[in-house]
Amino acid sequence: MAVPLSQMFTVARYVISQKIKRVQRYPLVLMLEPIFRCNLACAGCGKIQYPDHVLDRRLTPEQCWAAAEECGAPIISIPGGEPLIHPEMSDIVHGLIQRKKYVYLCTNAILLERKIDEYTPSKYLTFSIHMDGLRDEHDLAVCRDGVFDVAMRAIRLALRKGFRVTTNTTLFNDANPARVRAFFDAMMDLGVEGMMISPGYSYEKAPDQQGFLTRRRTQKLFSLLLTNRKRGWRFNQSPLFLEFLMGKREYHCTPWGNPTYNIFGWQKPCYLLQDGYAESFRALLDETDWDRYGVGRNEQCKDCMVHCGYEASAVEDTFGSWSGFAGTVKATLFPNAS
Amino acid sequence: MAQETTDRPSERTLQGQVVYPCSQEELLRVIGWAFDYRGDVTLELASGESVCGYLFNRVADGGGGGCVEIFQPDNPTSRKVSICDIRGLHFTGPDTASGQSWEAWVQKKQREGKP
Repeated sequence: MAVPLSQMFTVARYVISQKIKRVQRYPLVLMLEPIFRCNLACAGCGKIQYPDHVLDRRLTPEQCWAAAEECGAPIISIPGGEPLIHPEMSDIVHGLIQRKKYVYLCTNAILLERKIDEYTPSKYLTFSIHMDGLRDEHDLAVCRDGVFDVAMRAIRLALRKGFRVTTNTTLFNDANPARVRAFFDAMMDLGVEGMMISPGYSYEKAPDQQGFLTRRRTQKLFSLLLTNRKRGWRFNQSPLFLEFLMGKREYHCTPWGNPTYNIFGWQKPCYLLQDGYAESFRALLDETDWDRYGVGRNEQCKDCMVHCGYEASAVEDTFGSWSGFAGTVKATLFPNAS
Repeated sequence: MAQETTDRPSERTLQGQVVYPCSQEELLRVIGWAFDYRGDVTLELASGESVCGYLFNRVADGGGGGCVEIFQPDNPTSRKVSICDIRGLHFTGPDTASGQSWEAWVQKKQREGKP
Protein backbone atom coordinates (compact mmCIF):
# COMPACT_ATOMS: atom_id res chain seq x y z
CA MET A 1 0.00 0.00 0.00
CA ALA A 2 1.48 3.33 -1.07
CA VAL A 3 -0.04 5.47 1.69
CA PRO A 4 -0.42 4.37 5.34
CA LEU A 5 -3.95 3.67 6.50
CA SER A 6 -3.74 6.37 9.18
CA GLN A 7 -3.02 8.98 6.52
CA MET A 8 -5.81 7.73 4.27
CA PHE A 9 -8.20 7.80 7.22
CA THR A 10 -7.15 11.33 8.20
CA VAL A 11 -7.67 12.63 4.67
CA ALA A 12 -10.98 10.81 4.26
CA ARG A 13 -12.28 12.13 7.60
CA TYR A 14 -11.18 15.66 6.70
CA VAL A 15 -12.79 15.66 3.25
CA ILE A 16 -16.03 14.14 4.53
CA SER A 17 -16.19 16.70 7.34
CA GLN A 18 -15.79 19.51 4.80
CA LYS A 19 -18.62 18.05 2.76
CA ILE A 20 -20.87 17.65 5.80
CA LYS A 21 -20.19 21.31 6.64
CA ARG A 22 -20.95 22.13 2.99
CA VAL A 23 -17.65 23.96 2.53
CA GLN A 24 -17.46 24.75 -1.15
CA ARG A 25 -13.72 25.41 -1.37
CA TYR A 26 -11.36 23.66 1.01
CA PRO A 27 -7.62 22.99 0.89
CA LEU A 28 -6.23 19.49 0.77
CA VAL A 29 -2.48 20.08 0.58
CA LEU A 30 -0.71 23.25 1.68
CA MET A 31 2.23 23.99 -0.60
CA LEU A 32 4.60 25.66 1.83
CA GLU A 33 7.60 27.37 0.24
CA PRO A 34 9.81 28.66 3.08
CA ILE A 35 12.73 29.45 0.75
CA PHE A 36 13.27 29.95 -2.98
CA ARG A 37 17.02 29.47 -3.01
CA CYS A 38 18.12 26.18 -4.51
CA ASN A 39 21.41 24.37 -4.96
CA LEU A 40 20.34 23.28 -8.44
CA ALA A 41 19.06 25.19 -11.48
CA CYS A 42 16.87 22.65 -13.26
CA ALA A 43 15.91 23.23 -16.87
CA GLY A 44 12.17 22.94 -16.33
CA CYS A 45 11.92 24.93 -13.08
CA GLY A 46 10.46 28.43 -12.98
CA LYS A 47 10.54 28.80 -9.20
CA ILE A 48 13.97 30.12 -8.38
CA GLN A 49 14.62 32.99 -10.78
CA TYR A 50 14.83 35.91 -8.35
CA PRO A 51 17.44 38.48 -7.30
CA ASP A 52 19.80 37.37 -4.54
CA HIS A 53 18.20 39.50 -1.85
CA VAL A 54 14.89 37.71 -2.51
CA LEU A 55 16.54 34.29 -2.52
CA ASP A 56 18.10 35.17 0.85
CA ARG A 57 14.67 35.68 2.44
CA ARG A 58 13.05 32.87 4.38
CA LEU A 59 9.85 32.17 6.20
CA THR A 60 10.36 31.74 9.93
CA PRO A 61 9.14 28.59 11.68
CA GLU A 62 6.41 30.66 13.33
CA GLN A 63 5.19 31.92 9.96
CA CYS A 64 5.11 28.34 8.64
CA TRP A 65 3.16 27.02 11.61
CA ALA A 66 0.72 29.94 11.46
CA ALA A 67 0.10 29.30 7.77
CA ALA A 68 -0.53 25.61 8.45
CA GLU A 69 -3.02 26.40 11.20
CA GLU A 70 -4.76 29.12 9.22
CA CYS A 71 -5.13 26.93 6.15
CA GLY A 72 -6.11 23.74 7.99
CA ALA A 73 -5.09 21.29 5.27
CA PRO A 74 -4.18 17.84 6.64
CA ILE A 75 -1.17 17.47 4.35
CA ILE A 76 1.73 19.89 3.94
CA SER A 77 4.11 19.67 1.04
CA ILE A 78 7.34 21.64 1.40
CA PRO A 79 8.87 22.31 -2.00
CA GLY A 80 11.09 25.24 -2.84
CA GLY A 81 13.79 26.12 -3.69
CA GLU A 82 15.61 23.44 -1.77
CA PRO A 83 14.06 23.19 1.70
CA LEU A 84 17.13 21.62 3.29
CA ILE A 85 19.06 24.86 2.67
CA HIS A 86 16.77 26.53 5.23
CA PRO A 87 18.72 26.50 8.52
CA GLU A 88 15.52 26.06 10.58
CA MET A 89 13.89 23.44 8.40
CA SER A 90 14.00 20.69 11.03
CA ASP A 91 12.30 23.05 13.52
CA ILE A 92 9.62 23.83 10.94
CA VAL A 93 9.02 20.14 10.28
CA HIS A 94 8.94 19.22 13.98
CA GLY A 95 6.38 21.96 14.65
CA LEU A 96 4.17 20.75 11.82
CA ILE A 97 4.39 17.17 13.06
CA GLN A 98 3.40 18.33 16.55
CA ARG A 99 0.30 19.73 14.89
CA LYS A 100 -0.33 16.27 13.40
CA LYS A 101 0.18 17.38 9.83
CA TYR A 102 1.42 14.86 7.28
CA VAL A 103 4.56 16.51 5.90
CA TYR A 104 6.11 15.79 2.51
CA LEU A 105 9.56 17.35 2.52
CA CYS A 106 10.46 17.67 -1.18
CA THR A 107 14.20 17.64 -1.65
CA ASN A 108 16.77 16.98 -4.33
CA ALA A 109 18.60 15.06 -1.56
CA ILE A 110 21.97 16.73 -2.12
CA LEU A 111 22.05 17.79 1.54
CA LEU A 112 20.04 14.91 2.98
CA GLU A 113 22.95 12.72 4.08
CA ARG A 114 24.44 15.68 5.96
CA LYS A 115 21.17 16.76 7.61
CA ILE A 116 19.24 13.56 8.15
CA ASP A 117 20.10 13.27 11.85
CA GLU A 118 18.18 16.49 12.49
CA TYR A 119 14.99 14.50 11.80
CA THR A 120 13.24 11.62 13.52
CA PRO A 121 11.32 8.94 11.65
CA SER A 122 7.57 9.44 11.96
CA LYS A 123 4.43 8.39 10.16
CA TYR A 124 3.87 12.13 9.69
CA LEU A 125 7.14 12.75 7.84
CA THR A 126 8.00 11.66 4.31
CA PHE A 127 11.11 12.61 2.39
CA SER A 128 9.88 13.13 -1.17
CA ILE A 129 12.98 12.85 -3.30
CA HIS A 130 13.15 14.59 -6.64
CA MET A 131 14.07 11.95 -9.21
CA ASP A 132 13.35 12.70 -12.85
CA GLY A 133 14.46 9.34 -14.22
CA LEU A 134 17.44 7.06 -14.39
CA ARG A 135 20.96 8.49 -14.11
CA ASP A 136 21.28 10.06 -17.58
CA GLU A 137 17.78 11.54 -17.63
CA HIS A 138 17.91 12.84 -14.06
CA ASP A 139 21.31 14.49 -14.31
CA LEU A 140 20.29 16.08 -17.60
CA ALA A 141 17.04 17.40 -16.10
CA VAL A 142 18.77 18.91 -13.08
CA CYS A 143 21.65 20.25 -15.17
CA ARG A 144 24.36 18.72 -13.03
CA ASP A 145 26.23 15.45 -13.34
CA GLY A 146 26.37 13.16 -10.33
CA VAL A 147 23.14 14.24 -8.62
CA PHE A 148 21.38 10.94 -9.36
CA ASP A 149 24.04 8.97 -7.49
CA VAL A 150 23.90 11.33 -4.52
CA ALA A 151 20.11 11.00 -4.37
CA MET A 152 20.27 7.21 -4.57
CA ARG A 153 22.70 7.11 -1.63
CA ALA A 154 20.46 9.43 0.37
CA ILE A 155 17.36 7.35 -0.34
CA ARG A 156 19.10 4.19 0.84
CA LEU A 157 20.26 5.95 4.00
CA ALA A 158 16.81 7.37 4.77
CA LEU A 159 15.18 3.99 4.26
CA ARG A 160 17.80 2.33 6.44
CA LYS A 161 17.04 4.81 9.22
CA GLY A 162 13.33 4.02 9.02
CA PHE A 163 12.00 7.13 7.28
CA ARG A 164 9.10 7.16 4.90
CA VAL A 165 10.53 7.89 1.44
CA THR A 166 8.77 8.59 -1.83
CA THR A 167 10.03 9.90 -5.14
CA ASN A 168 8.58 12.77 -7.14
CA THR A 169 9.11 12.78 -10.86
CA THR A 170 8.35 15.45 -13.42
CA LEU A 171 8.12 14.29 -17.00
CA PHE A 172 8.74 16.38 -20.11
CA ASN A 173 8.23 15.80 -23.80
CA ASP A 174 11.52 13.98 -24.25
CA ALA A 175 10.49 11.22 -21.81
CA ASN A 176 11.17 7.74 -23.14
CA PRO A 177 8.37 5.46 -21.86
CA ALA A 178 10.55 2.35 -21.74
CA ARG A 179 13.22 4.19 -19.75
CA VAL A 180 10.64 5.66 -17.38
CA ARG A 181 9.14 2.23 -16.75
CA ALA A 182 12.65 0.95 -16.02
CA PHE A 183 13.01 3.87 -13.61
CA PHE A 184 9.79 2.80 -11.83
CA ASP A 185 11.29 -0.68 -11.44
CA ALA A 186 14.51 0.77 -10.04
CA MET A 187 12.72 2.93 -7.48
CA MET A 188 10.50 0.11 -6.26
CA ASP A 189 13.53 -2.21 -6.06
CA LEU A 190 15.15 0.43 -3.89
CA GLY A 191 12.25 0.09 -1.45
CA VAL A 192 10.55 3.48 -1.58
CA GLU A 193 7.01 3.65 -0.23
CA GLY A 194 5.58 5.01 -3.45
CA MET A 195 6.17 7.26 -6.44
CA MET A 196 4.60 10.54 -7.47
CA ILE A 197 4.56 11.49 -11.12
CA SER A 198 3.40 14.59 -12.92
CA PRO A 199 3.79 16.30 -16.27
CA GLY A 200 5.91 19.43 -16.12
CA TYR A 201 4.11 22.74 -16.09
CA SER A 202 5.19 25.18 -18.79
CA TYR A 203 6.60 27.83 -16.47
CA GLU A 204 6.98 31.09 -18.36
CA LYS A 205 10.22 31.71 -16.48
CA ALA A 206 11.79 28.25 -16.90
CA PRO A 207 15.08 28.25 -18.80
CA ASP A 208 14.10 25.45 -21.20
CA GLN A 209 10.90 26.46 -22.99
CA GLN A 210 11.02 23.65 -25.56
CA GLY A 211 10.45 20.65 -23.29
CA PHE A 212 6.92 21.09 -22.02
CA LEU A 213 4.13 18.68 -22.83
CA THR A 214 0.84 19.61 -24.45
CA ARG A 215 -2.34 18.08 -23.07
CA ARG A 216 -2.69 15.43 -25.77
CA ARG A 217 0.96 14.43 -25.56
CA THR A 218 0.64 14.17 -21.79
CA GLN A 219 -2.26 11.74 -22.11
CA LYS A 220 -0.41 9.68 -24.70
CA LEU A 221 2.77 9.53 -22.62
CA PHE A 222 1.01 8.56 -19.39
CA SER A 223 -1.07 5.94 -21.21
CA LEU A 224 2.15 4.36 -22.42
CA LEU A 225 3.63 4.55 -18.94
CA LEU A 226 0.69 3.30 -16.92
CA THR A 227 -1.02 0.77 -19.18
CA ASN A 228 -0.11 -2.79 -18.19
CA ARG A 229 1.63 -1.45 -15.13
CA LYS A 230 3.55 -3.92 -13.03
CA ARG A 231 2.03 -5.25 -9.81
CA GLY A 232 4.91 -3.98 -7.72
CA TRP A 233 4.60 -0.35 -8.76
CA ARG A 234 3.07 1.84 -6.07
CA PHE A 235 2.03 5.40 -6.66
CA ASN A 236 1.58 7.83 -3.79
CA GLN A 237 -1.32 9.50 -5.58
CA SER A 238 -5.02 9.23 -6.17
CA PRO A 239 -5.70 6.40 -8.66
CA LEU A 240 -8.28 8.63 -10.31
CA PHE A 241 -5.63 11.30 -10.88
CA LEU A 242 -3.53 8.71 -12.69
CA GLU A 243 -6.54 7.84 -14.86
CA PHE A 244 -6.93 11.56 -15.56
CA LEU A 245 -3.33 11.73 -16.73
CA MET A 246 -4.02 8.80 -19.04
CA GLY A 247 -6.97 10.62 -20.58
CA LYS A 248 -9.55 8.26 -19.07
CA ARG A 249 -11.21 10.96 -16.99
CA GLU A 250 -11.94 14.65 -17.41
CA TYR A 251 -11.64 16.99 -14.45
CA HIS A 252 -11.83 20.69 -13.87
CA CYS A 253 -8.92 22.21 -12.02
CA THR A 254 -9.24 22.73 -8.26
CA PRO A 255 -6.64 25.46 -7.69
CA TRP A 256 -7.69 26.13 -4.07
CA GLY A 257 -7.05 22.45 -3.28
CA ASN A 258 -3.28 23.05 -3.05
CA PRO A 259 -2.90 26.64 -1.84
CA THR A 260 0.61 28.08 -1.82
CA TYR A 261 2.21 30.17 0.90
CA ASN A 262 5.67 31.71 0.58
CA ILE A 263 7.67 34.84 1.42
CA PHE A 264 5.34 36.93 -0.75
CA GLY A 265 2.12 35.74 0.94
CA TRP A 266 -0.73 33.48 -0.25
CA GLN A 267 -0.22 33.03 -3.99
CA LYS A 268 -3.10 33.66 -6.40
CA PRO A 269 -4.48 31.47 -7.85
CA CYS A 270 -2.32 28.36 -7.48
CA TYR A 271 1.11 26.86 -7.02
CA LEU A 272 2.05 27.42 -10.66
CA LEU A 273 0.56 30.74 -11.69
CA GLN A 274 1.52 34.01 -10.02
CA ASP A 275 -1.24 36.55 -10.38
CA GLY A 276 -0.58 38.30 -7.09
CA TYR A 277 -0.62 37.62 -3.37
CA ALA A 278 -3.19 37.77 -0.59
CA GLU A 279 -2.39 38.60 3.02
CA SER A 280 -4.40 35.73 4.49
CA PHE A 281 -5.79 32.38 3.42
CA ARG A 282 -9.32 33.72 3.84
CA ALA A 283 -8.44 36.69 1.62
CA LEU A 284 -7.03 34.28 -0.97
CA LEU A 285 -10.32 32.38 -1.07
CA ASP A 286 -12.47 35.53 -1.09
CA GLU A 287 -10.45 37.82 -3.37
CA THR A 288 -9.40 35.43 -6.12
CA ASP A 289 -11.59 35.44 -9.20
CA TRP A 290 -11.52 31.65 -9.58
CA ASP A 291 -13.64 31.73 -12.74
CA ARG A 292 -10.70 33.28 -14.61
CA TYR A 293 -8.67 30.08 -14.37
CA GLY A 294 -8.77 26.60 -15.83
CA VAL A 295 -8.79 25.01 -19.25
CA GLY A 296 -10.79 27.08 -21.71
CA ARG A 297 -10.69 30.12 -19.45
CA ASN A 298 -7.03 31.02 -19.26
CA GLU A 299 -4.33 30.56 -21.88
CA GLN A 300 -1.76 29.72 -19.20
CA CYS A 301 -3.90 26.79 -18.03
CA LYS A 302 -4.55 25.16 -21.39
CA ASP A 303 -1.94 22.40 -21.19
CA CYS A 304 -1.74 22.07 -17.44
CA MET A 305 -2.48 18.62 -15.99
CA VAL A 306 -0.32 19.01 -12.92
CA HIS A 307 -1.14 17.30 -9.62
CA CYS A 308 -1.44 20.57 -7.69
CA GLY A 309 -4.51 21.43 -9.75
CA TYR A 310 -6.06 18.05 -10.39
CA GLU A 311 -5.15 15.71 -7.54
CA ALA A 312 -7.65 17.56 -5.35
CA SER A 313 -10.23 17.22 -8.14
CA ALA A 314 -9.67 13.47 -8.14
CA VAL A 315 -10.01 13.26 -4.35
CA GLU A 316 -13.16 15.36 -4.52
CA ASP A 317 -14.51 12.91 -7.10
CA THR A 318 -13.70 9.97 -4.82
CA PHE A 319 -15.65 11.39 -1.90
CA GLY A 320 -18.20 13.39 -3.86
CA SER A 321 -20.04 10.64 -5.68
CA TRP A 322 -20.68 6.90 -5.46
CA SER A 323 -19.34 6.50 -8.99
CA GLY A 324 -16.14 8.28 -8.00
CA PHE A 325 -15.77 6.12 -4.91
CA ALA A 326 -16.44 2.95 -6.89
CA GLY A 327 -13.98 4.11 -9.55
CA THR A 328 -11.33 4.64 -6.88
CA VAL A 329 -11.86 1.17 -5.44
CA LYS A 330 -11.74 -0.37 -8.89
CA ALA A 331 -8.64 1.57 -9.96
CA THR A 332 -6.91 0.63 -6.70
CA LEU A 333 -7.68 -3.09 -6.91
CA PHE A 334 -7.49 -3.48 -10.68
CA PRO A 335 -5.23 -0.74 -12.04
CA ASN A 336 -4.91 -2.43 -15.41
CA ALA A 337 -8.65 -2.81 -16.02
CA SER A 338 -9.65 -0.77 -19.04
CA MET B 1 17.43 54.49 -22.45
CA ALA B 2 14.24 56.43 -21.85
CA GLN B 3 11.21 55.07 -23.60
CA GLU B 4 8.07 57.02 -24.25
CA THR B 5 5.91 54.35 -25.82
CA THR B 6 4.54 51.57 -23.65
CA ASP B 7 4.59 48.88 -26.31
CA ARG B 8 5.97 45.94 -24.42
CA PRO B 9 9.60 45.15 -25.21
CA SER B 10 10.38 41.48 -25.63
CA GLU B 11 10.85 39.49 -22.41
CA ARG B 12 14.57 39.40 -22.87
CA THR B 13 15.04 43.14 -23.41
CA LEU B 14 13.18 44.71 -20.50
CA GLN B 15 16.43 44.89 -18.57
CA GLY B 16 17.78 48.43 -18.71
CA GLN B 17 14.56 50.00 -19.95
CA VAL B 18 13.29 53.24 -18.43
CA VAL B 19 9.61 54.02 -18.87
CA TYR B 20 7.64 57.17 -18.09
CA PRO B 21 3.97 56.33 -18.65
CA CYS B 22 1.81 59.06 -20.12
CA SER B 23 -1.49 57.92 -18.66
CA GLN B 24 -2.93 55.89 -15.81
CA GLU B 25 -3.72 53.07 -18.21
CA GLU B 26 -0.11 52.97 -19.42
CA LEU B 27 1.15 53.10 -15.84
CA LEU B 28 -0.90 50.05 -14.91
CA ARG B 29 0.37 48.23 -17.99
CA VAL B 30 4.01 48.95 -17.16
CA ILE B 31 3.45 47.90 -13.55
CA GLY B 32 2.19 44.61 -15.00
CA TRP B 33 5.50 44.23 -16.83
CA ALA B 34 7.39 44.97 -13.62
CA PHE B 35 5.28 42.42 -11.75
CA ASP B 36 6.24 39.77 -14.31
CA TYR B 37 9.89 40.84 -14.38
CA ARG B 38 12.28 38.62 -12.39
CA GLY B 39 14.75 41.35 -11.51
CA ASP B 40 14.88 44.49 -9.41
CA VAL B 41 13.18 47.66 -10.59
CA THR B 42 13.48 51.26 -9.46
CA LEU B 43 10.35 53.33 -8.96
CA GLU B 44 10.63 57.08 -9.45
CA LEU B 45 8.06 58.74 -7.19
CA ALA B 46 6.32 62.09 -7.46
CA SER B 47 8.14 63.17 -4.30
CA GLY B 48 11.47 62.74 -6.07
CA GLU B 49 12.30 59.63 -4.05
CA SER B 50 13.60 56.51 -5.79
CA VAL B 51 12.57 53.09 -4.45
CA CYS B 52 14.64 50.15 -5.68
CA GLY B 53 13.75 46.51 -5.11
CA TYR B 54 11.81 43.48 -6.26
CA LEU B 55 8.20 44.30 -7.10
CA PHE B 56 6.25 41.18 -6.15
CA ASN B 57 2.65 42.30 -5.89
CA ARG B 58 0.22 44.85 -7.26
CA VAL B 59 -3.19 45.46 -5.81
CA ALA B 60 -5.64 47.48 -7.86
CA ASP B 61 -8.53 49.10 -6.06
CA GLY B 62 -10.77 49.10 -9.10
CA GLY B 63 -10.75 52.89 -9.35
CA GLY B 64 -7.43 53.20 -11.14
CA GLY B 65 -5.54 53.39 -7.84
CA GLY B 66 -4.13 50.76 -5.57
CA CYS B 67 -0.57 49.95 -4.58
CA VAL B 68 2.44 47.84 -5.38
CA GLU B 69 4.47 45.86 -2.86
CA ILE B 70 8.23 45.77 -3.08
CA PHE B 71 11.06 44.00 -1.26
CA GLN B 72 14.04 46.33 -0.89
CA PRO B 73 17.45 44.67 -0.55
CA ASP B 74 18.22 46.01 2.94
CA ASN B 75 14.75 45.85 4.44
CA PRO B 76 13.35 42.64 5.95
CA THR B 77 9.75 43.75 5.47
CA SER B 78 7.98 44.75 2.31
CA ARG B 79 7.04 48.33 1.46
CA LYS B 80 3.78 49.43 -0.10
CA VAL B 81 3.84 52.25 -2.66
CA SER B 82 0.70 53.90 -3.97
CA ILE B 83 0.38 53.50 -7.71
CA CYS B 84 -0.67 57.14 -8.07
CA ASP B 85 2.73 58.20 -6.65
CA ILE B 86 4.73 56.43 -9.39
CA ARG B 87 6.06 58.67 -12.19
CA GLY B 88 8.68 56.44 -13.79
CA LEU B 89 9.85 52.86 -13.72
CA HIS B 90 13.37 51.61 -14.44
CA PHE B 91 14.15 47.94 -15.02
CA THR B 92 17.46 48.27 -13.22
CA GLY B 93 18.37 44.77 -12.05
CA PRO B 94 19.45 41.81 -14.19
CA ASP B 95 16.63 39.61 -15.49
CA THR B 96 17.23 36.40 -13.52
CA ALA B 97 14.95 34.49 -15.90
CA SER B 98 17.08 35.26 -18.93
CA GLY B 99 17.77 31.56 -19.48
CA GLN B 100 21.55 31.99 -19.36
CA SER B 101 22.15 29.13 -16.92
CA TRP B 102 20.27 26.73 -19.18
CA GLU B 103 22.12 27.92 -22.28
CA ALA B 104 25.44 27.43 -20.49
CA TRP B 105 24.44 23.89 -19.51
CA VAL B 106 23.38 22.99 -23.07
CA GLN B 107 26.66 24.35 -24.43
CA LYS B 108 28.59 22.31 -21.87
CA LYS B 109 26.75 19.13 -22.85
CA GLN B 110 27.32 19.89 -26.53
CA ARG B 111 31.02 20.26 -25.91
CA GLU B 112 30.93 16.84 -24.22
CA GLY B 113 29.17 15.41 -27.25
CA LYS B 114 25.91 14.68 -25.42
CA PRO B 115 22.49 15.93 -26.54
